[in-house]
Amino acid sequence: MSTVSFLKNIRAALISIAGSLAAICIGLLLVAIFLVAVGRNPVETYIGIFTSAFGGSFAITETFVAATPIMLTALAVAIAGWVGLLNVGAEGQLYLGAIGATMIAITIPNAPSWQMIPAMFVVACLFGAVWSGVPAILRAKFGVNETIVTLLLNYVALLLVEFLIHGPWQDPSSSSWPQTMAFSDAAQLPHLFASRVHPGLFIGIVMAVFFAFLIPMTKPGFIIRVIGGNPKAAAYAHLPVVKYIIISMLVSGAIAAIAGFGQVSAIEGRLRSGISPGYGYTGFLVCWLARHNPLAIIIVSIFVGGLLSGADSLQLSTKLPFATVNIMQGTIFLTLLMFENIIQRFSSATVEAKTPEANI
Amino acid sequence: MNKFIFLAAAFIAWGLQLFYPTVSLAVEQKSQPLKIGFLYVGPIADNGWNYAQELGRQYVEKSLGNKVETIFAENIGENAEAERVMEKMIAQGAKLIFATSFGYLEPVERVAKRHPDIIFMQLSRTTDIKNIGNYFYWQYEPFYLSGIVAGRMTKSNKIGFVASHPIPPIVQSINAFALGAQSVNPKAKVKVVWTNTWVDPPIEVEAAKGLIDTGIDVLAFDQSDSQSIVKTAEDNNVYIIGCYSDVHQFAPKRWLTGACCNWGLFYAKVAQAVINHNWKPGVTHCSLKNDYVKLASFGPAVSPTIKKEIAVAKNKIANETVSIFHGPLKDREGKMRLAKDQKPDLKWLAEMNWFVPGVEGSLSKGNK
Repeated sequence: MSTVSFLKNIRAALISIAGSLAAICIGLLLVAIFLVAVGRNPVETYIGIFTSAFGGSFAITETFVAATPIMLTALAVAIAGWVGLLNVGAEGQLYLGAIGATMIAITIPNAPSWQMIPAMFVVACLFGAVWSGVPAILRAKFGVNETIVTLLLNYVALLLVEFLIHGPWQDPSSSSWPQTMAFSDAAQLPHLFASRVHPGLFIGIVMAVFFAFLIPMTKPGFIIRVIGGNPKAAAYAHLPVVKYIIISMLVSGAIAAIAGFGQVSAIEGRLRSGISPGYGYTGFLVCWLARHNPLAIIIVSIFVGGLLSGADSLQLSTKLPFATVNIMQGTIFLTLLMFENIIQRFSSATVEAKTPEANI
Repeated sequence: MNKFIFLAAAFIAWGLQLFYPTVSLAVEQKSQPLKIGFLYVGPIADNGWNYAQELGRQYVEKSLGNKVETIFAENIGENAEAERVMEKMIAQGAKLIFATSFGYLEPVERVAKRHPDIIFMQLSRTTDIKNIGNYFYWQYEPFYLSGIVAGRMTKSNKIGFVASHPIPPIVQSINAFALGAQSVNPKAKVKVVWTNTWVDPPIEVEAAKGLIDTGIDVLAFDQSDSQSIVKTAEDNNVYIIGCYSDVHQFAPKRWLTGACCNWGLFYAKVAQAVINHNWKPGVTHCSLKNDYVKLASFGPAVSPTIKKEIAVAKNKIANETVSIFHGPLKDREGKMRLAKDQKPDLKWLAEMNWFVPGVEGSLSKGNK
């Protein structure tokens, strides 16, 4: 509980970022071989992607827009990870957040925004927490594997959205297209300047910094680390393991739900299918790349957001098919994960809680 | 020191150019070709909807030569992702954007409001925004003709239809298909199964097999991809009616014909209008009359008599001597939908959410 441990935390974040950068370079080299094989100049291609992701104000803000739900879902995965749980259900919790926010937006469409936005926020978080609460209780009380339950609930969440937008919530004026009616202006989150960046980004950053302090420097953080390190020892030491597991999962689901709230309220302005092209799964990946370190999650999610948004240039400028985007992202993620172990050896600092490998 | 100043100046210039791409563009705009962006909802290798769009883009490039330059992006979701990609197309200099799927309207509207100088073409939806043109494709016309073929070919009088989203353009196609079949075979029934997705081969094959199990002997569909369903029909000895692209090669024995798109002619015409500065917003009807939709080639099973019959029917529709939807027309619940002497207009067509008699399968909110 000192600034020393916080600095250690930053050091761990820097090591994991530096290691990731090295891995990314190797991944890019591998992709370059592929690019040469299909007759493209890899340097030009990469400059194109970088410009498309970070060159100019529009590109940067779009990178942040993609990074926002990734950051929030990655944090959600990390929070569950600190107590030793694998939350693969951030995608489903995101959708539940979207459902919760939409429910408020379409049931009280005339409410002023100072009532509307907080109500949407709270209900979104509640819905997300319910979705992660089910596996949490099953895990804490009955020892049911939370990985399977959270994963399967993703599909239930998606079908629930499909049911709502094809059925009770379908906009009668949208020519039978499956979507809800547009939210009123009061139900739409404000944007930063003329961009699509919305407060979700700042919520994500503030949360990450908050947890970067909480986990290494406070008593609850200490308990979380003990539970995550060895739940049996924690129970033996009469620590409230069940309570912490459940609370962590509830918070985890609520944070993932904020991502869904942001997507419907600030980005789409209504609920429709495809509000998340797998952000929850990308968040899971980002969390592991950042090795559950909240500060590293900020950086890695912005990088991955840039990769997603910048990949447009592969199609638009380099004129490569969409499949190339998958090849590039897959290769980079793969090298990152392979380098995970190598990076671990260089980093002695394990300030952040253990990753939940013990439970797999 | 001089070197340093030069580098700094170059760096600042580079930075300015990034943030103000219009500065350098404005100067040479006049002599540049028209840059056209195409937004595809699925992969162009789908042998169906998006492949037909891609052929359209290639036709535009071929027919207008150096007057145009085209860019495209495939697999772009009908969500905020489309907004980002369109913005990037515009940043690259695109002045005309074809949004080639139903669900793009909402993102297109948002981008169009921010860029009143860019022209957008939105499929199958109408809007009040002045820089968005709308085009409707009356796929139901070739579907009516395909229905005649299906009605002639079926022995069991049961025809299957694997349908994507229950939206008016698709409902029109199914109704016209059924009317076509019934015009030559009053006992013909069309069984519809919805997939609620544009493309998902496993679900489509599942739906097709489910229909085949109910005893259908002709299968039609409107999914964006063709290969999986067409091959399933060929493997199960069921006749197949294609959609969007002519893919008779996947069913050399069982292919009958198909309702296809012919986007190239239309897109080239729009591009030429934009180049000539005489483009106007409004609704274009892509129909048999202007050849923007067409019938696919016939398979070996279709007899010369049927082909002749189709040629006659096609001429009547293209010359507008008959209307496929003509009063009195009742839906399958018996409600009068089109009175005698009433002509179907755009609004009537764009709101079609009911089935004609002889179509089986759900069509209601939340159907599955």
